[in-house]
Amino acid sequence: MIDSPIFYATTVHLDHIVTALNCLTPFGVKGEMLITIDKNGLSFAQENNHVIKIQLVLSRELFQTFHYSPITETSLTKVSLRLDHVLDSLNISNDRNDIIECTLTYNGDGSPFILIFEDNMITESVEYSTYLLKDLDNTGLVLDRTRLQFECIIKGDVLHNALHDLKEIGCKDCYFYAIHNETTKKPLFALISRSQQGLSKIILPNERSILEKFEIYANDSTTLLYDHPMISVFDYGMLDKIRASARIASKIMIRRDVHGLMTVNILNETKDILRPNDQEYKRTRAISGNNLPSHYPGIIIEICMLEKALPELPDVNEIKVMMIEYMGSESRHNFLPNTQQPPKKTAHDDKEEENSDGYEAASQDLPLFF
Amino acid sequence: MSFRASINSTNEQTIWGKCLATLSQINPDVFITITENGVLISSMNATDTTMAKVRFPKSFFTEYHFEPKKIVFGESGVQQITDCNDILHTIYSFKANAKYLSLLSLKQEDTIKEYMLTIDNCDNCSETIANKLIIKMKTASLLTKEYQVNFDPLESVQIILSLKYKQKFLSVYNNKSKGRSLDPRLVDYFKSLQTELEHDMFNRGIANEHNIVSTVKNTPLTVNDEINFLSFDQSILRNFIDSIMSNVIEEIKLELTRHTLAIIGFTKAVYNMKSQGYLKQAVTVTNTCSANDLEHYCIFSTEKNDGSRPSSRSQSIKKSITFKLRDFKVFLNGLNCWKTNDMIRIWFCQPGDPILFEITKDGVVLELVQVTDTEGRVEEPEDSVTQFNLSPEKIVSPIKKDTVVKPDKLQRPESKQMLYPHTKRSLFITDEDGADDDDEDEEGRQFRFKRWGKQNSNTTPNSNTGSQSTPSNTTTEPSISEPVKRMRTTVEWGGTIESNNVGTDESHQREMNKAAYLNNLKRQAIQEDLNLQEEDDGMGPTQADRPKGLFDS
Repeated sequence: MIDSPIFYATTVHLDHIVTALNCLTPFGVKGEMLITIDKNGLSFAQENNHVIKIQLVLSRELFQTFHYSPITETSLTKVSLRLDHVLDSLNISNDRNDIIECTLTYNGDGSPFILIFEDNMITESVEYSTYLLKDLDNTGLVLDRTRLQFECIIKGDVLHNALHDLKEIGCKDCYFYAIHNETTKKPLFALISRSQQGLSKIILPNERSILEKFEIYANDSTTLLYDHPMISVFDYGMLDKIRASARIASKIMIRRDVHGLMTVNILNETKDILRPNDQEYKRTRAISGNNLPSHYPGIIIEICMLEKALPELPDVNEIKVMMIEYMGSESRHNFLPNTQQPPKKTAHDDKEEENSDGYEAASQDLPLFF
Repeated sequence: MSFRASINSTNEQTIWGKCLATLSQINPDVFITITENGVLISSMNATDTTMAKVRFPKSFFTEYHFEPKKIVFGESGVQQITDCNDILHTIYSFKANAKYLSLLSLKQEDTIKEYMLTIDNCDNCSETIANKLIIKMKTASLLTKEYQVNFDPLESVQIILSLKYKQKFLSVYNNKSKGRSLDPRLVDYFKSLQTELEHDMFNRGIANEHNIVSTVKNTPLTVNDEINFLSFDQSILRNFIDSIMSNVIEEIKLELTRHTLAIIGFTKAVYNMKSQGYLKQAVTVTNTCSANDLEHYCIFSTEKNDGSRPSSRSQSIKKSITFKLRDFKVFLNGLNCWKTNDMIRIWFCQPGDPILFEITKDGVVLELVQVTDTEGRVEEPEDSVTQFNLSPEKIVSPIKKDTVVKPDKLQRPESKQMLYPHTKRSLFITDEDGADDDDEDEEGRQFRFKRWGKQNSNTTPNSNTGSQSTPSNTTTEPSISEPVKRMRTTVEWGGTIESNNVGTDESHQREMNKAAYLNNLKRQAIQEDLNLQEEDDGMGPTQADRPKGLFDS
């Protein structure tokens, strides 16, 4: 280290890095993750089968010292590492109570990626060989920002809760159902699960404080579309990979374009990590004070995933029926679509149903009026 | 909606979830029966050796609507049942996966504000939600969750073993008790059981040809009528289960004598024969508790022949029943959701007949039926005509100090009881069925006996010096002016005195008893002083009967 390497960065926030990297674990710990170093920080990326990709950014503010001097000003440095190797070494050090200073260095192609852990007694250095550079293929996993269909921002813990429930009930396929009611301007966002036991649905709260933004576009990112449900279906095994990231998220932005690509952007505000891992994590946090730098923006994660397939018509109808029934019974929201909308017949039928559902209650109330 | 019920309090939601979880451990598929009075959930394990049933009353739910007449879809689950009062009940039964149901109702991270169960099998329900139990939850974090659980509507076969046992129990112990004074709480319990049987909607199964649930038995008791009853704090069992190595122990045996209840956990299995040798892991664990700690017990015992000495017989009464631990443990652990400990009631007949456990908590009734080992079963003799020779004796638990009904009860100083335990014992064992020597509490039954004891006053002093018990079969006691036919059952015996004298008027009887008791106290005090003097140079009061016991056995 006489010649200063291309990249070195020092931090004491090991736990934070561990928290961040744990979000990558659902994508396979044995796989290679691609680390991209640029002057703004580090990014970790991983993908599965060309249908889902995660990219996680640790900005340079996390590091007390951050030095990056590439050969040319704009060039990026990329290196592949195995996630489990990195996590193992981080976890060993993270278990200790002392404040540990961790230095990451890399000196370009051919040199090892080195982690150096130092406390006031011991200096440990871990070298990872970097033979392989496997670049990610982004084809098809880039959001078409001009042709968005759906966009929403929701609180992280709520979505995590919902995803967790879906996992517990053994969800197989997960439908996203979103509709914007024209008359009430109320959105409805629901996750519908198809499992062995039948359909289940989890309706996310539409309160402004939780569902901050909710828009359905007519394929062009600008025209708002009302009373027209957006339904997309995901394989739950795939969707479940979001869960680890949603766990630490404060806000989640979900966008979907016409090509069936959904991106999930996760912002983790360092001030309120909602779900500290466990007791262990809390302890470490308490000791190291968790004084993340005040201007540190937090972990930023972007997950892009493709739809499983276009939802089939019978399924769509079934879901529509189910949702309309829900809205029918939930009279205070009055979600019923207008009758001039395309699913006119269904809506009408369901209206009748709703009436008959409400019939009991009405007949019970009748004596009051007479 | 053909069915709608909601559970809004967290506590009840936990109970609901925990009960489902318990049942699902016995069998993942449970049978749910909806009636107008509440919900019945039962599950039977794959080998039909264990059945657990939970009854949630209507009051358990915050809201409860059930309209079976509207059910159109899945009507194979609709059943109509008439009970003995000729009231028609329409019930709806189906089979569902309890693993899944309990998963949906067990405690989650955020509290559930509203938990609603609905079935919409009306004629206008859409096909997608027909035959589905819809569970709707609203959580504190404003999430709305709705789960649809498929179910199979099918007619349920209600297993009414509990009703049968209760009927049998009443017929054996209740109808004869009129002339005797039992623990008032036990009497109250008899009454509540009686009403329960009369109002249960499945009571057709136990009714006679006139559609009346009869708990009066006119024929003499035989071996086949055997039923034993136990009721005590479930923590006794819980402590036992917690203390044993439940991974090794496989079976539990309850051994009930007049003075003790022994809970024995053991295993017959031979494990790891290769590595650890023969019977390495055969284990027995026994917890014994005094019969004083039991709320009630009723022991049924038969006397094989009249020649046997009654004292030894009454002392050697031992009822034991063996059943498997595994499902029982599951059942007990399921009760953890209640903070309080309640009484567990146990009925069992002969070895080999199923054992019934029942716990009632906040209106929720939990039942467990398990098969038992046949070891030690007494078969009925072939010539049932000679059953007359059998003299069943029924032992009813002693009356506790904290009896609810007090007026007929007079407290004796504790110290005095401690001084003369032997005197009391000898008196009790003589003839009053089941009066325990631990039973220092004064009740009419004992007073009556003592008055009687005065009549043949020559036996009473004797008893102190060793002839510990007056034989119950009066053929050997000509001095007693009882009709011989009464002596077939010792139970009737005490009653007949009273019925001869004052009839069955209980209050009058109690007054009499009270007066008699006061007299008796005085008499006893004098007598016992005498006894003490006698025995001081001989054996102590507690030792006196010991040689006899050895001799007898």
